Amino acid sequence: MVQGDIQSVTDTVLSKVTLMIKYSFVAVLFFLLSACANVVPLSTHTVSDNPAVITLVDDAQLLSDEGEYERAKSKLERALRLESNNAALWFELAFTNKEQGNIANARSLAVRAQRLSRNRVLSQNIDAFIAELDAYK
Amino acid sequence: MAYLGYLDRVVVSQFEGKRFSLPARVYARPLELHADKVITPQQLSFELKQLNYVRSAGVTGPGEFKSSSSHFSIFVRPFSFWDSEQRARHIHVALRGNRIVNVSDAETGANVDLVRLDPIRIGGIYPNQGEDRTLVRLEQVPSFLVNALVATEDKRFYQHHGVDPKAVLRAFTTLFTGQRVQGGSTLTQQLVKNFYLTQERTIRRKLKEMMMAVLLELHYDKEEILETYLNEVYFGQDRNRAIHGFALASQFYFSRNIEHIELAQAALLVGLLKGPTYYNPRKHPKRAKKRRNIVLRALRDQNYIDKATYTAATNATISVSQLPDRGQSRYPAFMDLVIRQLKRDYRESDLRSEGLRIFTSLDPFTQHIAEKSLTSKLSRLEKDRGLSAGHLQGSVVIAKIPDGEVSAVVGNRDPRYQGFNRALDASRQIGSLIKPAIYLTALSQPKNYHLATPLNDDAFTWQEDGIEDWQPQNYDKKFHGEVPLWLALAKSYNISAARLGTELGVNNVMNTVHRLGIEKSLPHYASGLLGTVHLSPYQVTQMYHTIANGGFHTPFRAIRDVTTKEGTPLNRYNLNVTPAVAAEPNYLIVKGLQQVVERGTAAGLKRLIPSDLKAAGKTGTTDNLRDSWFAGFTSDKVAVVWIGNDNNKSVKLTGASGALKIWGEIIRQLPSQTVNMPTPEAIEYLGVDNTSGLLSSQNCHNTHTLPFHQDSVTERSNYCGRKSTNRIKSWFKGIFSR
Repeated sequence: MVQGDIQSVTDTVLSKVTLMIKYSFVAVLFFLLSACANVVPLSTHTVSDNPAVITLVDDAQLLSDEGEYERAKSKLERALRLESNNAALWFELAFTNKEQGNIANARSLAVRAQRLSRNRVLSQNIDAFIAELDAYK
Repeated sequence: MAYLGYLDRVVVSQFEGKRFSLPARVYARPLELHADKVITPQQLSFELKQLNYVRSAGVTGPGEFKSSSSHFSIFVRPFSFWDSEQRARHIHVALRGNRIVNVSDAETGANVDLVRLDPIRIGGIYPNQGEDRTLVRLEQVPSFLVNALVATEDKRFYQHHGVDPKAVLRAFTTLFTGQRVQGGSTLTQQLVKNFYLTQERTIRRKLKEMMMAVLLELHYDKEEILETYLNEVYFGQDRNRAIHGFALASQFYFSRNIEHIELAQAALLVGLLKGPTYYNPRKHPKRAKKRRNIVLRALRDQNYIDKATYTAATNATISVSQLPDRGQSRYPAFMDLVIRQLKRDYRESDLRSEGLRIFTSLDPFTQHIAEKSLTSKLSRLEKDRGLSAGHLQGSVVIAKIPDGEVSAVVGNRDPRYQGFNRALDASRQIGSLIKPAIYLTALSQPKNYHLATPLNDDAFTWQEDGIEDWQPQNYDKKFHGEVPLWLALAKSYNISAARLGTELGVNNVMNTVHRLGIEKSLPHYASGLLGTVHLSPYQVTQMYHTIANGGFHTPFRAIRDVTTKEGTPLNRYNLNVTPAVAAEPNYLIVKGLQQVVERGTAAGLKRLIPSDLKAAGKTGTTDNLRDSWFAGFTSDKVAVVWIGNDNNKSVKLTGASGALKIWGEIIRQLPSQTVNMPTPEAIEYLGVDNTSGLLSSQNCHNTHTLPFHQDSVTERSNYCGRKSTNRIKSWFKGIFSR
């Protein structure tokens, strides 16, 4: 039991670190891409205070890293059922769609995230994300 | 010899081929439990009851629970979902008011982030004979069940080669005495009979059965034959569904997985084989018990169980669970929607035979409340209005915000009725429900229109070549002079809406309706502006969902995902969104629709639901009171109620006096969230004078605030409205760029 707990704590920490690295990477990338943008890395941004949502997002990110995009999206949609106005979750879903190659839906989801965002840093990152998608065209 | 060869081929080819057609199983959405979830104890109890969880003082195994007013102890059953497994686990759920405060593991006390209950099975898509079964492997079946079967039906099963010689002898005897052939069949023969042959009782058929049984045993071992038998046998009827196989029978009679049944229960099932109707334990518990005890005696006599076990089992009561209402017809209107969506991607024959598992979005509690409210209120309205019983028909559709999942569909005031599905197929005039599209079209031009724009509500005639002159009237037959836009919407004035619609252009308004998610072609003549447009309740729900969803069109989904019978994912139905309306006009129209409830035609709603929900909505009434509509939303759901008469007679109800009451009754009983749209950056709140409707400094007396798009405001007022001229139009001209 204890071993299992340690394992799960380790997993959680690992996945959070993965999340932080991912956000940092994305943010730095956007920073480099957009010369004029004052993009601050998202590493301090927390997706949610709700442990259930955090668990689902952590799971989704692990699945996404393994290329299991459909299952990852399924987890994120579950999280959205718990916190439907959470802009970071919408952004995460947009990001997963982009990874999977669903660019049109990724963009729409990012716009959805943008309308909900009340966080300047997140908003800037979403803008950069949308700009990046538009650059694909 | 040639005949034997032929029989051999029949036996092998059919046994090797697909042995059973398995119906698609359709599930409701699973209930997820986590801290902070809004749920009433009544709803949680309802879900557990629907799942056939058994109330038990001890809570020792999956499928058991106990509860007090604020605490539930639930042993969650294991279930394999599309994205992951839910393992069996015993949890405590603590509630305060209508909210879960904590979910914890019953053994360790540790907090549990998230638990999914197994989903309620809401129906199946059955093979044409209605056969339903759950397949089971022999090793999953408790040995005492197999022993009971062998001891009762075929003592020498493991010794014979398909046919019991004594029975053969008996068959030959009857050949000479001319009696009908009866009994004495081995399990193999019974299987052959069920599998390949008719039920006729003739010597010829009996001989064929024997030959085929021997052939079957030549090709297959005892375990394979036994396993097939366990899955084949018939256990009775549940409406139009035939219960086959021990695994489904165990669920059907005891709400338990076959692995977890007890000796007395296994004996009861074996006893049932002799006559599922005659020994039906729900209808004839005494007969069933007597028969069960015969099975137990056979077990004892053949030394499978000792005397003490025998005594204990024979003393056990007949503990069948409540009859689960899971037939094909539990939610016919919703199932209709599911099947229509499935048929786009699957062949009907596969749906009826491959045992697919369909996970839908149905929320059983929401559906229950919608059904109950519609049924009871329609009867009440008929009494109040002196209408004959059955005059009114109705429909309800409820969908979730933001993901567009359909939670409930009611297509008839008798929700079990399987015929015409009004929710999807009744195409009715929508009356004033179209008005938000007119105002949205206007508000999308912020330089020309805003919520306080004065609209003309005086007599109006629309002339167009080749079309009869059109003179819209207000419901109260009055003219209201100049009224601010938001008030014209709130009070549902027809003339100002018609004037505005024609000013904007009918095509532009209809394009807005299309953008909101309506795909069908729409009229391009002016009277379409007052709702001669025909839509189904489902389509109206989709249209209002886009507004309620911040201006994003999200195609409705009734299915989340589909798996094979083994649980392998086949297909997911993704959440797709398309920006349809800009944030600012959508925000303004939502504010306008909240005013409909606050001080407009839907003000009656405030007596039915808490005002802090800030619900938004629109009433709809058609000519001669033929249709009564209400479409509205809270932050988490959009619901549409329609009342009408199938022969298009008057229902003597407006949207406010009919559908709105049912809407209120539904929302009152469901947990809902306050409408709280994020304010777009380009929106600012400004003061408006109460009496004049003029833009005013916010510090003034007698003012209210309204949201405006920045592009609507070219000058700011430092004066109080009353100090200015009373002539609205000129004053507005001075302030706004019109």
